[in-house]
Amino acid sequence: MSHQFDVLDGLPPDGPTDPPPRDPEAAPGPHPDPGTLQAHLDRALSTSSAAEVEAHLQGCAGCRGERASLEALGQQVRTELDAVGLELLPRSPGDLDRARWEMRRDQASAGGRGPRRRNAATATGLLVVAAAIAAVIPGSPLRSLFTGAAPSTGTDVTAPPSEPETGGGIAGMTGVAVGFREGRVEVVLEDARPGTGVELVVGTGDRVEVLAPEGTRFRAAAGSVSVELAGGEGGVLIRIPPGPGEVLLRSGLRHLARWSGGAFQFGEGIAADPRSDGVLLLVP
Amino acid sequence: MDIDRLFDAVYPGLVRFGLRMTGDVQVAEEGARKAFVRFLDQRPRGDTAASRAWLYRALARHLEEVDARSREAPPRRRLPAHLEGSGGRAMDVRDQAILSALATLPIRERMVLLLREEGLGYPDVAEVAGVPASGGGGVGDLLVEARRRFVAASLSPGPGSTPS
Repeated sequence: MSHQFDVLDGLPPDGPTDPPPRDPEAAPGPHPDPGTLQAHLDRALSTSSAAEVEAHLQGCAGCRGERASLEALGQQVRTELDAVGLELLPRSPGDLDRARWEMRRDQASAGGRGPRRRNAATATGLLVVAAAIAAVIPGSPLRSLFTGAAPSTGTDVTAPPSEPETGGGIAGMTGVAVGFREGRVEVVLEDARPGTGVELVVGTGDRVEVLAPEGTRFRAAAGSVSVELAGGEGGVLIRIPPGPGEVLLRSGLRHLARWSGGAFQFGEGIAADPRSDGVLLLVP
Repeated sequence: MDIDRLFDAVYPGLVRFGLRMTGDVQVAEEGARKAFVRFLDQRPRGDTAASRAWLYRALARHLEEVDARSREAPPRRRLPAHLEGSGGRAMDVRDQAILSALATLPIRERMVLLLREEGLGYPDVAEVAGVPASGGGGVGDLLVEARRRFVAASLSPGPGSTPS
């Protein structure tokens, strides 16, 4: 006895098919339905069920043909879908940086639970700072988002690492980037008011980037940044490169935080709110 | 868990899944971001695989809400989302045809098909799509049915095509 599947141009039949005739001596057990065969192909059956199906397939050419049709069907669907919308999907590091920033913006807008909700306003302000950091810091992959310029690769910082760079060009924001000196950068907030938010973000690159509202005065040199906020107000964002460098943060003479060896340590009495990629703290 | 690493690893797949589900890259991107925002808010425990499944689940719930809202909206809004644009970014005719074919599938079948394409295992697909993992009407059955429907729809001429 023989049977035939309605396979046209390598495609499976559109509707349900009659089960192939059974030869009980050659193929033990009932014919598995297409869903079970598919689960078998996907290795999603239990060990015992898989053994039963496999034993049946050994003796049933019809079901082996059905399995081959299902394999071909899956491959055809995959081929069709693989090419869809490739140019629309995020692929480059710049795409992901932009998406990550948008996600954080959404997060700040949504608030959050516990300490995050209390700090939502501060976080929102800092996200504005984070947005601007992309535009004012040379080498940032997000620069093109805000300036319209072609994105840089993130490694084409033109100034030597020992020289600070100041950023500009975005209304309301200003920033500076400095390299390490003897493996360390010290950031000092001068006369920052209590409650000033400081977000420390572990990012990319090889410099420490400091962003603050326009009107902030920076005194920067390799290994040190002094930040004098206009009127002592406004949030500060400090982007720290990964790696072995040490970053110290002080408010005046008071030790606030230290980044070293891939971890943060905080000064006495400093409460820090963990973020997705760093911490948010408030000047006491 | 390194959130940045998780984001880089999972976000593109979430957007791809959302785009294929809805045909609208803006809806897909917004949904993927919302899933991560929920993740950061709730901080579910689990390894990377569990976190990934959690994120797809969150996105699927969001897309179901979007789908329900679009059904409740006036008829004009019932057009496939991609026909209303894709964020100002170009989508070629072939892409639109494929997305239209996907849009003909019932939402559960579409979800099962696309979650499997994203590499989720049967238990995760079952949980996200709200269907049995095995047996009648389970993941395997729905997957086969969805693939057959999709291929049939992608081969049939669309409403705007001209007979040759």
